[in-house]
Amino acid sequence: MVDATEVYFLGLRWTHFFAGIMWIGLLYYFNFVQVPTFKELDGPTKNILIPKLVKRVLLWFRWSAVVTVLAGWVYFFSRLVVDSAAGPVDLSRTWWYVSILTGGLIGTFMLLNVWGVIWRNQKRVIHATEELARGTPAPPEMGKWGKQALVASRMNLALSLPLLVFMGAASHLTVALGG
Amino acid sequence: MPWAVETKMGFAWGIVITILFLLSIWAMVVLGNIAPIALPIVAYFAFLGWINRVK
Repeated sequence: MVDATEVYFLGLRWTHFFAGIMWIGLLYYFNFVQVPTFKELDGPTKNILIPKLVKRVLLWFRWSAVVTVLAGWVYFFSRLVVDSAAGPVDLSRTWWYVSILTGGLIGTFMLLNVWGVIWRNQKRVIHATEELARGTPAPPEMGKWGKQALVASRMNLALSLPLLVFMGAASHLTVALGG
Repeated sequence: MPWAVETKMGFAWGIVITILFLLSIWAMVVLGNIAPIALPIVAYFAFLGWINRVK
């Protein structure tokens, strides 16, 4: 027989992995493919691609980020509830919790960057580009919006490396913390 | 090709926050308390305050 709790945790893990692959995959697409390619394109070509391609990529990017982080935190607290039922859990002395908490917080910072910095600025860029096609001149702040979004995207690229280390190390690195 | 200033700034913040996470893990284990996790959290909110000033 299959244990219902294990199926529940497997479902959460699958959701977390599926959405996480999509999110981080699109993050790498932005950083390694789109940004360098756009630097080589002329203005009119970019003005076509921003409302079509970029808008669509950002839709999947920002919502896969939400699903990834949400599934991750639900998994964390569910595991805490199950483990606590067997006895008190010392979060700071159990490697799985230390590692997953670190990875989870890094992921949460990245989610906040996606919605609070990247999307907040990119939606202004998309809107301005759409208005440009209707004849409204581009606002002077457009450069600033792009710059802030790029800083946060580069930061997420850097943070994705320790994120994956701690997520993997929770279950695949044996660390005795004592206590 | 030299790295753009946005790349340098983004990587710098990412590296600082990663170092603070490593420090907080060490402090958590030494103190036996999860309170040091506040260290990178505060740094991240400092980033959110700073990023709006980038022009």
